[in-house]
Amino acid sequence: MTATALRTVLHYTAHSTWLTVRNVGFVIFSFTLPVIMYVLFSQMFGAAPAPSGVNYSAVIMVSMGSYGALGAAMSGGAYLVVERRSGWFRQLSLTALPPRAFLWARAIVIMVLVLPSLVLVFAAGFLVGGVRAPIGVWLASIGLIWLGLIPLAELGIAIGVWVKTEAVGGVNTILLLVLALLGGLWMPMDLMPAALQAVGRLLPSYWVGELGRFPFLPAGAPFPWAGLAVLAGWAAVVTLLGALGYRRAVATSKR
Amino acid sequence: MANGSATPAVSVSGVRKSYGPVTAVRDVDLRIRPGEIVALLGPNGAGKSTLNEMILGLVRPDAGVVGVFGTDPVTAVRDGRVGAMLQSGALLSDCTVRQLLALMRGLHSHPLPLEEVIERADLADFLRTRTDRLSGGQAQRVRYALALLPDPEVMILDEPTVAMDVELRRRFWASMRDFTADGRTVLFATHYLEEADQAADRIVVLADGTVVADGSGAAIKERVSGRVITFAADDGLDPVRLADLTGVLRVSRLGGRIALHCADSDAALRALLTELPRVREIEVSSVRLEDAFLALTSEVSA
Repeated sequence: MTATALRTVLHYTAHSTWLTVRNVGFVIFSFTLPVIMYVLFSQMFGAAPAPSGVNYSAVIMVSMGSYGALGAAMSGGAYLVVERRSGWFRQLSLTALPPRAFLWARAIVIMVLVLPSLVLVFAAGFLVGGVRAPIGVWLASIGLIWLGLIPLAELGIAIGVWVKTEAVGGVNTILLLVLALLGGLWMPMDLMPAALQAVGRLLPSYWVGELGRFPFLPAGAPFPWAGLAVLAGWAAVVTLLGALGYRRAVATSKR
Repeated sequence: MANGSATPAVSVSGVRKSYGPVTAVRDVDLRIRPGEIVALLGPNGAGKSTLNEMILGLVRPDAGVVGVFGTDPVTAVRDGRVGAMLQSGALLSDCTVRQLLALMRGLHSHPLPLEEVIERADLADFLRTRTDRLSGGQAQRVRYALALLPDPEVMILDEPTVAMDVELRRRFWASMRDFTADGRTVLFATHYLEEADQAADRIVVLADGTVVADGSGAAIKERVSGRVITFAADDGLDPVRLADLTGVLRVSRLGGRIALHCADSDAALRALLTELPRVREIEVSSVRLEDAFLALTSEVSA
C-alpha cells in the first residue's frame, strides 16, 4: 500500500468514525441498549453460580458485551447500504482511496465503534454486577472479544454490499437473533438440544463468547483454539464476499 | 507533464460497451488534446454517460482501450489527475456540506485548498447545511466542488448544469472558464446544443452509441440546426430527383406530404421552385434536435 493510500485510509477512518458517533440513533442503540439489557439480566440471574464455577454475573457480562458489540458491528457494516444505494460508492471510487483499502477502512471504523458498547457493559459489570477480577483478566477478555468480532464486522460489510436496501434491516435483525441465540449469548448453550449446539459451535458468535469468558475461567482451563480456526475461516469467507460485492456494487450502482 | 503536448488528455480507441442486448457505445474513437474544452452532445440514451464512465474507469469497456494522459483511467483517477461530476450522483447523507468536503478532500493525493474550492463553487452560503436538505442547484454546486477538489488536469462533467437555472448556469460556466484558463482539459456531456456551442471549443455529437459528427461549434450548429421543407405529395414527384436538389440531405414521405431535410434550406427552396414550379402547400420549419441527431446518424450509415 502506498503512502497516499495509507493516508487516505486513515483519513477516511477518522472522519467516518466521527460522523457516525455524532449520529444520536446509532449511539443510543449501539452503546446504551446493551448496557440496559445487561443490568436487567444480571439483576434477574446474576446471583446464581455458573456450572463452571465462574460468577454468573461475569458470564452474563461477557455475553451481553459480545451481543452489543455484535449488533454494533453488523449495523456498522449495514450502514454501507446507504452509501451504496445513493451512488456514493461511485464518487468514492473517484478518489485516491483504493476499493480494497476502502473496505479495510470501513472495517477499522466498525472495529472502533464496537469498543464503547463493550467497555460500557464491562463497566456496568464492575459497578452493578459486582464482577471482580484482576485488571489483566478484564483487558484480556475485552481484547479477545474484540479480536473475535473481526469476522462479524466483515459480515456486516458483506451484507451491506450484497443485500437490497429494503431487506438489510430484516436480514440484519434475523442474523443477529440467530447468531445471539444459537451462539449462546442470551442463554447458555447447555440448555439447548444437542443438534442446535452442534450448529452453534460453527457460528462465530459462540466463539466470541467463549474467547471472552476464557480469562474469567479458573487457571488450567483449555484455551479455545478451535474457536480461532472457526473465526479465521469465517473472516476469510466473508471478507472475500465483501470484496466481490463491493466490486459489483461500484459497477452496477445506479446513476 | 513533460510530454503533455504529445500525449492526448483522453484517448478512446475502438471502444464498445453493451448492457445485455443493448449496445450503449459502439466502436467509438475519440482523442482530446490537453487544454481542449469538448462537449459531448447527444439525446438521452446516446451513450454519453457510458462513455464518461469508461473514461473515469467506473465501467470497463467490452472492447477497445481508454487512456487518460497515457495511463489507464483508474491510475489517472488515483493520481488525482481527473475530476468528475457524475450525473445526479448522490451525496453522502448525515453530514453537512463542509464535513463532506473535508472528508473527500483527505482522500485525494494533491487536493486544492478547501477555501479555494468553496470560493470557486460558491458554497459559502450553505456550508453548514446538511447534504440532504440542499436544493437541486446547490447540490449540483457541491458536486462541482467535488470535481474541483483533486486539482485535476481533466474534468469529466456529466450534464453539469442539469438542475441549474439560467443565472446559475451562467455563473457555473464563468467559474469553469476561470478554472480551466491555465490549460486544463474539459469533457462535458449535454443535450443542449446552445450550451455546447457556448461553452466548448469542439463538439462531438453522439447518437445511438456512435460519433456522428465532430467539429467546431459553428460547423456542428450548421449541420444540426437544419431545416425541413415539406409540401403536398402530388402525383409525378420523383423522390430521387428531389434528393439531388441543391442543399437537400435526404427525402422522406409523411402521409400526404413530402419532406426535404436540408443542410441549406434557402438554396433547396430556390432549386425546388425552379425545378418544380407547381409544388403547393410549402412549409419551412426548423428541425427538432432529436431529428437532427437522427439525420446525422443516417448520414453516417448511408
